Amino acid sequence: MKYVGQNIPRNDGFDKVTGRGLFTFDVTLPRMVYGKVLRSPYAHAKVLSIDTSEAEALPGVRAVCTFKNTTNKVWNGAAPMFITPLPHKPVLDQTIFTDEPKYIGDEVAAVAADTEAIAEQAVKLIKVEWQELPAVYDPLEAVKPESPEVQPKFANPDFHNICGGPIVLEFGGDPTPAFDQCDAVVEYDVTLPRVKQAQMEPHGAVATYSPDGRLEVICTTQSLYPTKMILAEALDLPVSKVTVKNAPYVGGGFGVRIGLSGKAEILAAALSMQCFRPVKLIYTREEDFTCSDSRHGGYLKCKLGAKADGTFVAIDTQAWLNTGAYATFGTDLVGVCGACGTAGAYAIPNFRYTGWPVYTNQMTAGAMRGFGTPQGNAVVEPAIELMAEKLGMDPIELRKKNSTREDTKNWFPFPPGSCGTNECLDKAAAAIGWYDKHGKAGEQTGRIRRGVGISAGTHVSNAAPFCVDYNTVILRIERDGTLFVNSSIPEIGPGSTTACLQVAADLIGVPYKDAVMKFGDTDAAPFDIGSHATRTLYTVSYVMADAGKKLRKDIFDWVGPKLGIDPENLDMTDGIITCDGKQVATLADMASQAHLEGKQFLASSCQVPPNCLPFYAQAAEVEVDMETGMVKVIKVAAAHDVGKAVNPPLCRGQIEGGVLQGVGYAVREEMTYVEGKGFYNKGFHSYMLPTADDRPEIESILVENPDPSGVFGIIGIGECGVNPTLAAIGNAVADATGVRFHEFPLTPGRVLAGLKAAGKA
Amino acid sequence: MEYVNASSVQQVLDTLAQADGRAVVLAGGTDLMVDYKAGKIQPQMWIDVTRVPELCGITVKDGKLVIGAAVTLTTIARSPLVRQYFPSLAQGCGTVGSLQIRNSATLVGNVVSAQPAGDGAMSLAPLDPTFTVLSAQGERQLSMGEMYAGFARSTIDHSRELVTKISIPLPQPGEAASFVRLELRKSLSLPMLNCAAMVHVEDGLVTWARITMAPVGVGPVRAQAAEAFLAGKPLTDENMAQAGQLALENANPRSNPLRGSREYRLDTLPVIIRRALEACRDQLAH
Repeated sequence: MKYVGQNIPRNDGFDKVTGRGLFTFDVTLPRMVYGKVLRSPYAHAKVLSIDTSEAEALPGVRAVCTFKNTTNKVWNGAAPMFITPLPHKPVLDQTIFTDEPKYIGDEVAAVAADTEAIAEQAVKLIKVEWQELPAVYDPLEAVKPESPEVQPKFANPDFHNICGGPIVLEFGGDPTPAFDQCDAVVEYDVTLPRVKQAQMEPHGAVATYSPDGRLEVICTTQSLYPTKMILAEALDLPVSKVTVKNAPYVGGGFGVRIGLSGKAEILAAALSMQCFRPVKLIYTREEDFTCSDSRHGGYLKCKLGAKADGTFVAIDTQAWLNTGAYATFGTDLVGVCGACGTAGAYAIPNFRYTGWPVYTNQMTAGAMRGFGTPQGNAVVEPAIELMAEKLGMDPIELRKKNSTREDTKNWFPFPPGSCGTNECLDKAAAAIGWYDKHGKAGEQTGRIRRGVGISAGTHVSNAAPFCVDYNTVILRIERDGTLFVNSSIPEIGPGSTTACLQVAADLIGVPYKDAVMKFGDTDAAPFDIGSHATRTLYTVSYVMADAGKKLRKDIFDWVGPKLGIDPENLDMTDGIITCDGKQVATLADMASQAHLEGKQFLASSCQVPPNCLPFYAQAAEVEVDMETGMVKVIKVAAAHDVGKAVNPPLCRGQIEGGVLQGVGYAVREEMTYVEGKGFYNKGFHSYMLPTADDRPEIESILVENPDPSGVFGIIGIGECGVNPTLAAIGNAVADATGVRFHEFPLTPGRVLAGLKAAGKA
Repeated sequence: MEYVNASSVQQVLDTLAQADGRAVVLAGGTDLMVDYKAGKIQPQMWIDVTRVPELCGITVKDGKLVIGAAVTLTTIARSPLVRQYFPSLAQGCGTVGSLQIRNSATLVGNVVSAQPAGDGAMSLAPLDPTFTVLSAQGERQLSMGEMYAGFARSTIDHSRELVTKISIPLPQPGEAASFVRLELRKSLSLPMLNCAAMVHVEDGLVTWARITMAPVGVGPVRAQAAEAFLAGKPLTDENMAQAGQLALENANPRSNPLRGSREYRLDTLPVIIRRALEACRDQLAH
């Protein structure tokens, strides 16, 4: 491997550092107009009448759209609409506009005008007569039969306000009788907040509908093909006539736009179809915060049983997650919460998980980095801590005893792959100074107490076979021997296109320098599901390995006869073609010669990549001010089994970014709902995302156990950084104070109240 | 919309007088531009005072530290003079907003915008500052308390008056000041609570104490009961704790969905007041 494992500067660095890289916000097209949205001020209401005549009459207004002049097809704005494998069916419950808004912010109408100011003015001129209807906000309230129905047409008819259906996972034996066989049983429950992705670039789209019936949308989606398919279906267009592309850069995703970006794409497209002009619609930060998917908040409880020696016997977890007004990923995510968040990391023979995706009259919750795994982890890992206390065992020893091994009987329909949990636990523990610092709550008396905590877990490296999840790549060698890769993955910030090219250069045997990837465009290559599920590098590499093999054959089959050498005996590294270790030609010369004879080296592949489990452990050290309840995270040591770090700084960047999101989730971030007004957090000023100044020391530890399924041993890393952080910090706070908290984030008010209740403040 | 880049105090005053209420004095603009964009103010003219020589600079004159009205928070936070005489003022000014905001915003602006818990204003409040205010009617000298008319309302009419400088008596032997902030985030967030204190101690006894706190009312609120209690007493752990409790007598905090409930603020106000006093004591011990 010449390039894999190297600290190669990211290939979009110049563009981004110099400010020349284009994002959707930067796009300007001839004749372009601007879109603005009329949103519901009520959590649940009926539109009795809507009068757009004054808005239409305002000079400069080019289009006004409502539920009256757009399709009333139902769809799901997230990827599940077209990636749900049979026999499962996605929940389709959204329309472009609604006459019965179901949350504060729901889209009722939109305007396109020559300037944003005119569009804003026109939105105010739309006259709506509302009838306010009863609403419900809390999942535990919403499941009660007497609560108002949020989605009477689309909820599961057998379960009140349940989206899709309860997800019941039963792997192996029945926990109920198994608990009776246990020497120790513990229970833990937790309330988790909604948090927001807070990606840098707000949702946006520039849609152009042409008189020939073609729609081109430049937008912020992180999954171009699913978005293309959703737009075609919802707008009644042939899929062939819809192009979806990024600008080409996207300022972060974190799951919030797997499918549509809020509704930016479809609103801009609907307006453009009215006025035949490019329509640019950029969400304000307030719209982004209050009208696009958040992480699921809710309630979880877990019962865990073990033998006296620490062997886990049974686990039973229940989750009631607030999916908000529409489904998007609600059903899928509640499944992953159980599958990856409560199973997978440990061998537990008797397993049950019941997850309830609950409709409420709030903003929709959907995908956010970790996709349910952080929620599951947040209830299981403290339960393990309670078990360690009960059995008098060291929490790390208890985890190591039960962690998933290569040969563990596992419910996943694929092998777990390489299992680095124990190495991660040991390295994270060493980095935090576990054995010197843990268990000192009783010895501390000062205003400031310190403690350490740990959490381990797993996730996935791909969504197959749970989703229709495949990739296509096209590889070609240009006339001068340089590599050009076509893929429709996006570059949402992690450096995927850099790392993919490092892998491609080694797989094919060509120089990395001057290799180029065309990405972020459905016209660039056939289907790719996009960046989600920790999959981009892992899966694109897998498909490139197949295409690369074909490309090498294409090259050698042409070069061999030219040189009078059996193609079977040819090899190539870094663009040098060799036979028995001796240079016989350069790819540049051969490609040039081939061109003159009417031949380009070319190969493609379309495959379903495999999947494997990424294991990890994080240890946190915290300081708790016993008088103010202030929790300060001092350090997080994050050990992740990445199989092989293709580009170590990018890999560490993924871990550290995830950890910092986890720190915010654990101690500061929450979307606070104010009845009658909606979410209080309308921007960064009122949402306590940690800033660079608030960053604790983060020590990222790359554990490299090559995975049998991954090209060069690669395991997914993208989402993993955030998954165990909250639980590690919660465990550390318990270690520092002797108080176990049941509600996050651990804001000063919540912590002080808990300390007071426990007689510690 | 007119923009005047003023070059002297006289020009500012003349222009204000001519505009007759239609112009607004602009320094850092970090609050005014936000209000303007939100449609809360609609001046017809901005008078930029940041390049007026008389308003720039930090000096010591006649036993006072004098800070010009156009001096940015960053300049104050980094000023050797401020750090020498009033480290707590440097600390408070260095906490407002973010570095980018502090590079532009001014301490006078932090007072005139009249948010109760402005960190620059809070760290200044117990230092007994005097504000020099000029207008067509002449010169006024205002104390800290006289600068605040209500919640987010200043007694300064920025369409007719110009604050030119802040004068702070230099600390005497036996005096120390401190600033404490209870924060959810280190940058870009208002504090949950903040407070500041200054004490004068002679022969081990407090001669006077000035304690200010927010957001518990209009502007930085004086903890008068605590101040009175401390007079004539030593800064013992017990007395400082008692002063913290007494601060509640002058505090009426509200609940905020983000920055703490009334209950939490009532619980922690005594703690941060006590810590501010402890910081003063520790400085005097050195």
